[in-house]
Amino acid sequence: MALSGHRNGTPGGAENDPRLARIYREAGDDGPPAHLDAAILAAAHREVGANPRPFSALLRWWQVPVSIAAVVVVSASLVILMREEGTERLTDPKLGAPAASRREEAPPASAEYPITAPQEPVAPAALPEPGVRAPRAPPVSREAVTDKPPPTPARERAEPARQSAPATAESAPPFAAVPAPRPADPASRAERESAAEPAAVPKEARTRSEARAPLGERPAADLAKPAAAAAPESGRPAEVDPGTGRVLGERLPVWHAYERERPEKWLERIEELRRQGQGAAAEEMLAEFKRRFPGHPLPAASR
Amino acid sequence: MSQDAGPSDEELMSRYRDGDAGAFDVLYGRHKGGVYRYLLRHSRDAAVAEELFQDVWMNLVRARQGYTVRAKFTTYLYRLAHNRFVDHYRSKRHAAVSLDEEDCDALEHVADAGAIPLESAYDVRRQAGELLRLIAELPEEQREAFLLQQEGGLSVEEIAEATGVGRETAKSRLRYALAKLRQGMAKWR
Repeated sequence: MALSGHRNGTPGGAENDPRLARIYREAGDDGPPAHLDAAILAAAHREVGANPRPFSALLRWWQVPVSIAAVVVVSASLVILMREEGTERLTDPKLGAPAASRREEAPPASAEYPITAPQEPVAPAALPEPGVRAPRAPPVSREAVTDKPPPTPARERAEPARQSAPATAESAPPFAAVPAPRPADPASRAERESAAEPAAVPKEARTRSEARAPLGERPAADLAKPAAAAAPESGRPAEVDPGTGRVLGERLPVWHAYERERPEKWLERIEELRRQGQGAAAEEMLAEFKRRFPGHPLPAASR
Repeated sequence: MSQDAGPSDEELMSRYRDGDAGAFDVLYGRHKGGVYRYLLRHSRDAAVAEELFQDVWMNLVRARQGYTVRAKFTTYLYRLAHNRFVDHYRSKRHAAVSLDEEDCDALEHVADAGAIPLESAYDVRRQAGELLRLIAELPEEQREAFLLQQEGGLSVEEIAEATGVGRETAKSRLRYALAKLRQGMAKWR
């Protein structure tokens, strides 16, 4: 090319000529007529007014705060969910967690869940399989869970008591393999329903159970002692340590094996105990029978 | 292409896209003169220039929702102007002079601008009139390249982008335009 910045001496090179640009600027500042300015500006303003904001513009304005809000909501939900999951895990029967967390879903004492503790000792094999939720436990008072000191020192001492003490609706271990109500025996179920009214629970029994330490803090393994560990049917009532609120003693009530039996079975057992010379045990069982089945006729020997 | 201190052209256009009508006023004030003169001196017809000028700005208004900052706003604006000009003259079957047919050898002897004497204000005005006459006589592509450089302040690359040609083509057009203008202004030496 013939013209170059070097050859023609123009400082900007062949594509730029300051002297020509200066002369060009002297040619005048022609501009659009005023009516054109007004028309264009009016149209531009009108266009904005007709379409205030395109969606994309709104998205650009709001995407940051909306994103932040979404992250906050998701995070909060996750935290709440994890807390609940953590509580569930703590109360998992396999982990021997407190029973307190189960209180939310545990129904009140009813015919479905007798107010007494399971009468049969819990065998290790009776523990629920992983993933299988244990039968619901009756409610445990919040105070009994939160206000009690950790049961670690008293665990050893309280273990036998758990196996022998007549648990009530509020103190039944939530994770024990409580046998499900037997639907095949409607008569027995009806009797339990009639006998399981909350009002029928002796006041002292409720007080005693409320004073007990949270059962949920005990490991499931503790409650899974074999049946052989159960105390003999001595008829001696369990005692409660007023200091710790734990049940002392190592035996189960004499009637514990008959908890789900029909009244006739109870009466037969009472008679049998009498025949065997275990009068105290027979009396204890009779007293429980009267409490459970107040309207049931008694044989002459038991009146 | 006068840009006052303040928001950039791109920022103003983005604000207008997002609904700020005031941003358009500033943008229009900055560029209305350059675009108008580009169209006026390119078309050499005031009525056509006004028609095209209004179309260019209305096209900008209508295209605001799709505006994204990909290049200088002036490049974008003058591309709109170029396209509207081409559409107009295509419809009029206006014959453009092809640069490829230029006799490049004739430019070897063009005097450079430094030789043009500027003696008085009167002479400057006369020289400006003569320059406008010479611009009007340039081939269309060369005239456009010169006007885009002077009115839009576009570089060779930006002229290429605005007119949809390669960089070398735009560079050649601009060089030829300058050479012819220098040649035409040689008598003012």
